[in-house]
Amino acid sequence: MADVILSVEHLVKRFGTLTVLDQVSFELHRQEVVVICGPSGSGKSTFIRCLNGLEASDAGTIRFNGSIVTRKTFHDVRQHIGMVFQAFNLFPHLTAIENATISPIKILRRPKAEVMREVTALFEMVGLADKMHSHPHQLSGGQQQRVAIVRALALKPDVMLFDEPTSALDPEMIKSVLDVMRDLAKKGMTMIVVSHEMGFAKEVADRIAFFSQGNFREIKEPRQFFENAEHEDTRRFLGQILHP
Amino acid sequence: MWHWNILKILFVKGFLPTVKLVPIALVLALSVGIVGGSLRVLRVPLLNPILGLYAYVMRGIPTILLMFICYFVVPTGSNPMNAAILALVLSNGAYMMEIVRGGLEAIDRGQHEAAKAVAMNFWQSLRYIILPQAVLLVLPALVGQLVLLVKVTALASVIGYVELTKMALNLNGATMAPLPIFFYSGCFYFVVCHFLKWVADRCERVTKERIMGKAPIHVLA
Repeated sequence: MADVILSVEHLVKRFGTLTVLDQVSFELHRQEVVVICGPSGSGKSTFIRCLNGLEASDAGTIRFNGSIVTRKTFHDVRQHIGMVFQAFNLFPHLTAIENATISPIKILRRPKAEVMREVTALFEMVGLADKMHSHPHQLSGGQQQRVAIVRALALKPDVMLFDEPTSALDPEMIKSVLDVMRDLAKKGMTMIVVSHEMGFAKEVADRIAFFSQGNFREIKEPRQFFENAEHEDTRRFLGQILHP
Repeated sequence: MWHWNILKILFVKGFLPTVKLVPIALVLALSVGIVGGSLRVLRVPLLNPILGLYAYVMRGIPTILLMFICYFVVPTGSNPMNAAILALVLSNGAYMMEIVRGGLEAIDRGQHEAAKAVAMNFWQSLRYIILPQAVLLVLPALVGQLVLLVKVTALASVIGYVELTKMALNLNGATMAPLPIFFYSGCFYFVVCHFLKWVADRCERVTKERIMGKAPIHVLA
């Protein structure tokens, strides 16, 4: 396996007296796809939100590309981490293409023509070349989420984080989004995906993780994960979501 | 029967002095509103409770009392116009501050997070993401406040600033022709308020189209 791009040691996060992340340690390798599943309220979303500083951790270290990330350097690190939200969070006052280009052009100050070319190619890749000039409210949920993926990719990130990207979608929209993510994985993108799409996980993930009560209980390769889960909790959880 | 002389006197000695108050009070009150509202969102330690108290007090006392306070207590040089403007700015500024704050705070938390996630800092996200959306939310309420401001200028009469309402009252005493006097006065207020409303509606439509596209707008509601 290639080198480690993102690592976490003894990460702790509390909300008041509630410990949401309890000494979490984890390593993500380049070009690896990790799918995290687990019951709601287990802290898996909080975990990936900590990885790009949307949530400030209370203890522990996060390393990106070998160097420790602090509150001050999170801003720089975010340019290298793309984030896709459950609720899309597109900017409603901007068109699809403006959503994707505003940061590369206005914030990262890359040359406009180059950004436009790259982003147009990304829209073609996700099958939305004809929707680039639509506003988010003119798009379906699946289309909005694909725009959100393009917006994240426009930063040219090294890592992509997906926080339950298909949970807010109607069933018939889910496939279009998963297809794009599968495509990305095949192209070698490093990804962490919080999701309960076990079919997707089985096919695309290099490792699948079970997260519960504030920590990883189990991280295994897909076949091992489904066939030889060690923890009783994992097996019970899989039994609940893998209804025939 | 049209009482043209009454109309003329009302216009020159009543309407014009009223109009003189409006632009200055309006610009100042809006400034107080925008700056104060933004500061309240930031929750600057010492400043926030002070601004909160200011809004709290202003909402609890009648504007007419504020006129007296500004004229008799605050050293405004016994100039009724300055005192009136100060009172108008103080009270309307407080309301506008709360309107602006409400608009900024109404923007979904996901917008702040998405802006952060695409590497924007606080000021950049305010400028590119939050403010353009907040303006749309806030515009109708601000216009309502603005119309109120125009109507409340009538209270300046109690501290001796002769404007439209005071002039009407004086004329009434001298001519005993209440119907034309008060009818014309009403018309003046009516025209100004609805002119402002009309301008604001147009502004709103243009801004909406420019920042939200031409499709039906119910996303922000």
